[in-house]
Amino acid sequence: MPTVHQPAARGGGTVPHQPWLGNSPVAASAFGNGDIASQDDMLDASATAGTTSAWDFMLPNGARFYIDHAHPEFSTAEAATPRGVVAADKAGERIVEACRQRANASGLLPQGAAIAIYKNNSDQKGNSYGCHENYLLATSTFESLLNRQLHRTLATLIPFLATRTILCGAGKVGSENGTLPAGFQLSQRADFFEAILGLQTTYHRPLVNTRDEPHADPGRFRRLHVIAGDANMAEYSTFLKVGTTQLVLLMIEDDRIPFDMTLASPLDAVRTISRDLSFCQRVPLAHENAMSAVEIQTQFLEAAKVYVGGLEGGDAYMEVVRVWEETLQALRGDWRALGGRLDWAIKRNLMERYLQNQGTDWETVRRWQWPVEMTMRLAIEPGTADWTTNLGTMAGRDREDAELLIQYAKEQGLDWNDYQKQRETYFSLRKLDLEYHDIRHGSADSACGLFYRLQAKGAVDRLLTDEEIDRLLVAPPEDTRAYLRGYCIRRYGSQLCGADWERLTFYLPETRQESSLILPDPGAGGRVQLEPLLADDPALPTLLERLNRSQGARSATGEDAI
Amino acid sequence: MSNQERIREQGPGRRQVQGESTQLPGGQQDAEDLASGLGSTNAALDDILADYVSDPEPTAAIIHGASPLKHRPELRQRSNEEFVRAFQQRGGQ
Repeated sequence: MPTVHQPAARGGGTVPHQPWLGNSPVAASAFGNGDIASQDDMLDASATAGTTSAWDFMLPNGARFYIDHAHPEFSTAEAATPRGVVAADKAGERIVEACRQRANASGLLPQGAAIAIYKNNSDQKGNSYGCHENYLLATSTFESLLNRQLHRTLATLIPFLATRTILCGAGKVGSENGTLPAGFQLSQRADFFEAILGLQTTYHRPLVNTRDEPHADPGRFRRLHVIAGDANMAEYSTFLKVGTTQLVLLMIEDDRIPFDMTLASPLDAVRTISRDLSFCQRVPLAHENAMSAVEIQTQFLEAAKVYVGGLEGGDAYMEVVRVWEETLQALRGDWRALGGRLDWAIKRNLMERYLQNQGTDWETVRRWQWPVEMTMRLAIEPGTADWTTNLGTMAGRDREDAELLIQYAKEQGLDWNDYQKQRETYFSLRKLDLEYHDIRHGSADSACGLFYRLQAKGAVDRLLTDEEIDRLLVAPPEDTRAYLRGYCIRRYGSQLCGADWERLTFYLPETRQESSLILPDPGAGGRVQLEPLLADDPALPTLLERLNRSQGARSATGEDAI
Repeated sequence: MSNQERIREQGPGRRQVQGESTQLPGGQQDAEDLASGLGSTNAALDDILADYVSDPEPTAAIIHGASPLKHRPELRQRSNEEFVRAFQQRGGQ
């Protein structure tokens, strides 16, 4: 139960893992013209949001929407089920899109400029930004994974995260961050991981982030901040990303993973798996020979099937297990069975259609990636009459790069007469890659991003209904503290003077004092628990009094006070 | 240093750990559509492709244009409040 004016209580025991997502779509000036959809209800509701600063809002649907340095960041409310997270994530996408439309119509932008928003993980200029998943762990589990028993992390969590790319990678053309060239790879983020464990998120990025900000009672709960995943457009990709991770964390917490999958070189494995379009390449393990990502994921799946069968409330995870199994079966056969379901497969399917039309393939794209990018950097155009003359006038680093370029082309057997065609192919693919993540969702083709055009044409499988998403535009998930947070923001928004994940601060004119409502337990404060207290839509002082009284009564009966 | 050595040290993939496979199974695109119905989807894909790949040069220019974050590091350093002040000075609410 949430508390009023109370310090967080201490306790122990295992907890369910409510996940939530903090996506970071990047805004860039671009080309699209968004239509102005009628979403006034949602935006009006957002206008009453609790604020922590002029550009930091807790919304009536329990989410947080704010400016992080120079880009918008949306973090969904806490949800207790993977399906709930997918719906909250999609609702967040629609809120960000509605804001984009309003900004473009505001008249504040320079003439001719418009904002486009891409929900991806790379600006294709070497900068990466994360889609951050958050999972609630028992304090003891968190400390075990990140401090006391790192061998468990290496044996379980890291191999799982390194291989789940085959389930939930968003797909990418080319490579970044100085890594080996690629035609197509499964992950947007794989090239950017340079450490196994660490605190950083914007440089020297670790597979497992050690940030310790619980946003809850730290004596009982910790938040595992996962930065190793891609931002997803496809509902099934998000569902598998969050659902399988949640299950594996539950199994780790209950010590139900009966194997050691420690990778001999986790960072190498991440990049190898991201580039393995055959799904057959094996990565070396520390204690066995080698296994493929599909084989490693199958081990986790088999353990999960046993685990879920005996799990109280396991029904919510049965769908995760079913989709997980279907996905791995498809990867053992023909990946194109997933061509409407998972981001990397939808993207790859579209792009391979283009390659087929062009009479080329990924291997050719891979061989030309670096030469095309280097010629762009050097501002030279191979094949033209004076390009060798231009090379002769170069000095310093440019000259060294030009010499490397010629040598590399020779080694790869590239014909410079193909340059223009290969360059066009490469940037056509890069364009498709970028535009796939455009979040516009209008009814006309010109007002619709690539992903949603594919969805409108029936080329994308849906997990959710639009009704499930629309409900979460204005209403919070009902199975976590987000329900009470959302209710308070919607009902008492004018009295709110501060809001964050675990605290709401109100000004009470009756007493001319501030009063804080503390939400230390992410799993408490849901609809079922609070409905008796909210049935008559009480005034704020009445609700605070009821919460206090309820807490006291529960304490008197010996129950947990929180 | 030979060119081959320089390519290994300075060329593409310099951050890749030695010994990692560089082989991709590229070119495995099978021209025949799957019996699972992809054939009916291909017309839709071609329709979309026609709109997106007709002129990739603007994308090339954007991708190889200056990165606003790399070339203006002060944007990274700004706090939310500074960002809001800057926005308001330009007429934002």
